[in-house]
Amino acid sequence: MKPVTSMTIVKSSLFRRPLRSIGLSAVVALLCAAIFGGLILSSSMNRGLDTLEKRLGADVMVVRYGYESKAQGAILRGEPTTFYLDPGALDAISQVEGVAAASPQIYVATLSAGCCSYPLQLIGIDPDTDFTVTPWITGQIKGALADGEIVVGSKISADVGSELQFFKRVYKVVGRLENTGMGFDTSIFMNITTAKQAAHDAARVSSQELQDNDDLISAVLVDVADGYDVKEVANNILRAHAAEYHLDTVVSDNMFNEVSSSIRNFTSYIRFFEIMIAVLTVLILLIVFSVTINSRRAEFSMYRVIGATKGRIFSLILLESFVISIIGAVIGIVVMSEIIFPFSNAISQSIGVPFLMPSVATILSAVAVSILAAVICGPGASALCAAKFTSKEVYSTMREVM
Amino acid sequence: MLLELDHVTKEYIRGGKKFFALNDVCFGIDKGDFYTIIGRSGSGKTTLLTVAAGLAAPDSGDVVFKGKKYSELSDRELSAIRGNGIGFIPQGLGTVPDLTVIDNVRLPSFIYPEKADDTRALAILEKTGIADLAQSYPNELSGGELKRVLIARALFSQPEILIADEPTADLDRLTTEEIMKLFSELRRDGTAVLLVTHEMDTIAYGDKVFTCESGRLTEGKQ
Ligand SMILES: Nc1ncnc2c1ncn2[C@@H]1O[C@H](COP(=O)(O)OP(=O)(O)O)[C@@H](O)[C@H]1O
Ligand SMILES: [Mg+2]
Repeated sequence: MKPVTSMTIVKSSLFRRPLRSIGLSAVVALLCAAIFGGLILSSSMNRGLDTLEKRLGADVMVVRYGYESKAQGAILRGEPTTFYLDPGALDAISQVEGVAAASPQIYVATLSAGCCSYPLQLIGIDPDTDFTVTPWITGQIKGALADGEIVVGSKISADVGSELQFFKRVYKVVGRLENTGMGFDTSIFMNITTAKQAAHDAARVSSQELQDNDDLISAVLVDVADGYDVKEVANNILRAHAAEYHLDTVVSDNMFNEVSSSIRNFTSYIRFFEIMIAVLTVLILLIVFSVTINSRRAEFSMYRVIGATKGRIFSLILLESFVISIIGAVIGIVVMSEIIFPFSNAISQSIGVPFLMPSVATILSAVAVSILAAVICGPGASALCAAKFTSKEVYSTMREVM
Repeated sequence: MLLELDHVTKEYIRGGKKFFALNDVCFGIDKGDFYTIIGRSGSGKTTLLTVAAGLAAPDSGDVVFKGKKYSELSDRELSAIRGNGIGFIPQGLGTVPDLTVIDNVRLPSFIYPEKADDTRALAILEKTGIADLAQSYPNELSGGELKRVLIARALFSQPEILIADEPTADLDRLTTEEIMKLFSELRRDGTAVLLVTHEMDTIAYGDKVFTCESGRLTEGKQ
């Protein structure tokens, strides 16, 4: 026969009372899921925010007056749009004090493409002057973007080497970007010459007139020199040239501040609910585990009758609630992962902020924190009860069955 | 003396008033002795046994097991006496509900692994007449069968004194006789037996009778 050990006793207690075991594990699972889900959600939003700020890569974006919100929509939410700027603005802006670098870009919306059922944003960059997108697409491609070559955002289903068609012209996919959680995920990057061609194709389709081919631009991205205040420089640009070229500016900090404050609001909501749920479940855990241990006082007293020390009873009770808590914690984390990871896109879209999968290290530490919370709460509550009743005379706790 | 109660008093509060559950009890039992305690319900018999087994502390007086005063022992030392020196058979039903009969009987080996001996465990089940119930769970057993599980468990520890609180209360005549014979055999190996009983037949097995009345213990049948 197998010897009678703590594990034998715990196992038979768990398997002989499936309802009780499942009930207790479920409460622990709830606590774990709440903590784990909250941690993952808020850290992924913060990560989205970080990349957001890095990805624009420019301090100021100069667009035609009235197109400020369209430009923001294109960058943040991937709402495709087409807009143009007086080409003379590029040189004028370069001359403004505090402007370290200025580079033109072209924004053209497609109608629909072979790959996707929805319109996409084409973004043309000037390989000679670009300081915004090039740094993070150079990892994806060798050398500069040649004419007719495109790099696609992470959500566009086109493999490297395949071809995409817009306005009846074929483009070759030479790279894919990693997830940004921004509009860039549904954008397509090409050099500015190719983008001009696409712009004319688009105009032809919608039978509009386009101005001079060579100077077509949509926006000028500005890098502000060190030591200058970004808002100051943006104001300088407006003061000097707004009237002449019909300019407006999008200050990167302002644009992202709006987003970040909405993310911060949201993450503080999450924190709040997380704490509420955690406090509630800790209370429930305390009650449920106390009631369970209390209802088994007579049973535990029997161990005292046959010679168990208080410590032995204590460790038996701790072991049982530890096993229950670990099982509950694993269930809670697995279930929450099944919810949060597959639906991350839906979650981020419904709240309008980017959602980026946290790093493995972050996920692991969220797992560790929630498991820790579980194994502290359940066994902690049991330990309190165990301490309370082992401090009483055995006879008084035994009497309940006598 | 194996086990001695020296001027032991235990008070309880009932209906807001203090009363003596044990009143100045002096009592001793030695190796191989077989003593029986009788008395009306509520006279303090169970209280006496639990105090003797170190499951409740007296308000005054000493309980001494092989020269050691309970009041001076640590939890570990007192637990060791309960585990190795005393086999206690409670009046009520005191099994672990989620363990089989055989595991309930072997339970002392969970606390003192050196006691593990499956052959002996099975032999004790045989002796107490519950061998066929070895794999059953307590909720499948009758009151009499459960009592025999408790007796088997107490015997499994090979105690120096067996303290039994109305062990044959739920048993039929024949089983009662078997159990009492079992207890009588124990004393041949030097085990002491202290028994609380209601059945006058069982007094015959012991060598001394004590009567408990309102917390006082006197020798003889009253
Ligand atoms: N924990 C307790 N609190 C108050 N009264 C108690 C307690 N335990 C026992 N009593 C009372 O003490 C008296 C003696 O009880 P007990 O020793 O169980 O009697 P017996 O076993 O002889 O029937 C009874 O009147 C009982 O009600
Ligand atoms: Mg009694």
